[in-house]
Amino acid sequence: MAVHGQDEKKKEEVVLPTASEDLERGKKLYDGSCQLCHGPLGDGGKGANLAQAKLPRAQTDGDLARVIEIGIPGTEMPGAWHMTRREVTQVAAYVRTFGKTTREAAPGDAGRGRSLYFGKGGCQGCHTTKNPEGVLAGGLMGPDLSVIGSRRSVAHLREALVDPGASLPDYFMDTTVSMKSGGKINGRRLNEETFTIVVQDYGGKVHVIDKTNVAEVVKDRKKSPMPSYGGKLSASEIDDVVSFLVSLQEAR
Amino acid sequence: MRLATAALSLAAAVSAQVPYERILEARKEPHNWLTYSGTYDGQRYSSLNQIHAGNVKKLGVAWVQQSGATEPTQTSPIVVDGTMYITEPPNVVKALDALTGTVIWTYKKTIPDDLRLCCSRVNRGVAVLDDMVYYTSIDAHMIALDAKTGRVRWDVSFGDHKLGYSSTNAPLAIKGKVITGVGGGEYGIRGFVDAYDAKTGKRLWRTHTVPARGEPGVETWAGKSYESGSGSTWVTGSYDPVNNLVIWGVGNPGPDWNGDVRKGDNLYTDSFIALDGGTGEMKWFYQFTPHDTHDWDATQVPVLIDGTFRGQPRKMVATANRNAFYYVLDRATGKYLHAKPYVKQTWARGIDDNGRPMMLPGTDPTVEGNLLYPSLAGGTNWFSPSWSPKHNLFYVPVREEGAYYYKGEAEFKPGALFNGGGQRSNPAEEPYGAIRALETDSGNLKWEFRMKTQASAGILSTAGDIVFSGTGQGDVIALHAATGELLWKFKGGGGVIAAPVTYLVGGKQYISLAVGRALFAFTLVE
Ligand code: HEC
Ligand code: HEC
Repeated sequence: MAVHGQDEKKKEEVVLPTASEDLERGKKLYDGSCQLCHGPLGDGGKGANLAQAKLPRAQTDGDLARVIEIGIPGTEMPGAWHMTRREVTQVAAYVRTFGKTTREAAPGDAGRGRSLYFGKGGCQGCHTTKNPEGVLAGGLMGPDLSVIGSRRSVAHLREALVDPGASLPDYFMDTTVSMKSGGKINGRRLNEETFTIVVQDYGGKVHVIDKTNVAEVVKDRKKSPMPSYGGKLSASEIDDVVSFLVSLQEAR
Repeated sequence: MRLATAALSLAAAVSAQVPYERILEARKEPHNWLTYSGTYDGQRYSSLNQIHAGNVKKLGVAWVQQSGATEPTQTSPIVVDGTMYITEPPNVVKALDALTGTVIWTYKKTIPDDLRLCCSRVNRGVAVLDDMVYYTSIDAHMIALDAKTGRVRWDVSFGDHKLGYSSTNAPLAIKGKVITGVGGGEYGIRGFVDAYDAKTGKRLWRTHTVPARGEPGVETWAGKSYESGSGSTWVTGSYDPVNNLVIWGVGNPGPDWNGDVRKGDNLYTDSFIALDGGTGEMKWFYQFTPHDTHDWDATQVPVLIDGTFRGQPRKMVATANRNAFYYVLDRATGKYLHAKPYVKQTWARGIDDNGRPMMLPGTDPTVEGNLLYPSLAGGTNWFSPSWSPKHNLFYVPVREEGAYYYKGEAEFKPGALFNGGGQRSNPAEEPYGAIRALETDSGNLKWEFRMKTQASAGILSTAGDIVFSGTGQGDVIALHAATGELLWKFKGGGGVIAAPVTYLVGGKQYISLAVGRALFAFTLVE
């Protein structure tokens, strides 16, 4: 059966290996298990940017090994239960090499990006961020962006603005339900079960739909209701918005 | 009236005696449910038909028994003359009044907190024989309880929990003996099937599933790899009283996903083994997946069928294996008769005439991950299948899903996980589940009922033309046994990871099934 490790997770000193065989093995393991989310150079994708000298959640090597081993509960970051302790340290050692190369810096001006976000971009209509009092404000169609800078890489943020459908988060699935009676409901799938599907349309209304009344359900894994800003903002304005998003960091 | 019947059923419980002869003839008393699968043949079929396809719409909840545990209830209840015996995680056995759900007694085993478990502290039920109830605890003890009071009569350990030995299965009681398998396939244990004297707890035989040095079959393990070969036996087997054969499923070889360190077929992992009930001697074996590198345990309930195969009457063993093939074997000899895939698979070209899979190249796990069907949870898993003699159909809960399999390091340390890899799911695909009805001798698909998520519940079929099961998202379902049409559903509000049973008390038929952390009893409501 599937396996979940249970002990040896206590705080402990961890010494990462340095031999080239270990790093080679770490790279292979990384390419198989982590690249999908963190990108081939550790700087891109759904996963956090690992190409930083200091990783917020993994400042010590012990923390890094533990994050890899058990994941970050409540996020998309899974635990690598299939790896032995040595393999975990090999991957960790390889992850540390990313931090030594300089990652793609956020190239724009975060202040200008902030104005674009709340002004011309109209981002606030669909996304929440924290206002200076720490209160969430904004629209609910898109995900909360309060700490998006800690979670996603520069490359991923840029892609999210220019090509929103390219890499959708797990929880977002555009769904069109055609009813036997003729109507259609298009929106985001909130939940789906054997007999029922729950869709929130892009006007905000929630529909709990009995599948016996449904003719067809079409899911589009590449479609986002977020408009592409490729044509709406200039290249330097995109840089500015990306810089603003990068500045939205988890409190440390 | 209701009170009076309750009192009556309590009175019946006090005098309940279940000699072997009653279990042997369990078919003759369909108002009771006397073994894990109902009868020795593993069919999980009932001839009760008070609840039938025409009136099942009127099923409603009679009572609910909540566990209070964090782990799900996976028990398959036993019912004897109005008393129900169940287990609950992590360490509880209860006797309930089957009519009202009233608790008669509760037993709690003291369990250590340094358990070594792959999965969680679940349990799948008890066995009964004469005036005792038999339970195997998560720390690998077999415990005999007095059926009337729940008091311990004997308690024996059958494996060191610090080395990864554990138990989740309901034991199997035969004449004078109670039989159990063992868990721990992710810890490089040495698997076995054990028989204990039902009265005293003295061990009568132990048959290992992995040979020792000098024993036949050890040549199928490179080097000393047999010393950590696993071959757990964590799901209740079946019993053929005519041939006195205990037929039991054996789990994966250790380490699960890295076969480099254990070249060879790795007998008797991923096999059905048939053991002499008297001595434990292995009479035959059939290995479904030689040299498995995907964790495809053969720990499914063997279904013993007296039916027809290619037009001739035949005594068979049928099973839908975790490796995605449905198999028919000869019951007396274990000879391979037929196999056919029942879910998508990409690892074998087919099964040859000798019953050996014709492997496709490039199916081994890799360090980078290798996409293969089915996933490590299999085309099905331990969830009980059902066979209906009335419809001559084999019902199986299925999982349609592939996975990227990883190969990792595998170094054996006693008491530590010994995996050698794992899997991740395939993000490009939404997996799904189904209940499928297969023709007994061909394995051809007769019908299917689709579910949103992979199956995790067992199946009960009845003479009322109904197939009962559940979904991973908490629905209890009743399907037409001949067509798969949905007849009734109930939202139980928790994943169903258990198998249904049926019984009759106070003149009324009940269906009982655990949903999430609670056991439900349903009956017809006016
Ligand atoms: C399914 C996608 C996914 C996979 C696969 C994945 N990660 Fe992650 N990882 C994430 C996400 C998302 C986060 C950010 C979680 C958060 O803080 O919200 C993260 C966070 C991390 C962090 C913490 C970074 C920080 O900011 O401190 C580390 C380290 C990490 N991952 C390493 C790995 C390694 C090594 C692997 C492979 C063994 C891996 N991850 C596999 C999605 C993934
Ligand atoms: C019409 C509503 C809408 C508007 C306007 C909108 N978004 Fe989005 N956004 C979404 C939705 C829905 C998603 C989730 C699906 C996806 O990833 O495309 C999303 C996703 C994102 C993501 C990816 C989040 C993640 O977890 O990976 C980022 C970053 C983002 N938006 C930033 C912005 C910015 C910056 C603006 C303004 C310039 C903006 N959005 C405008 C609806 C919107």
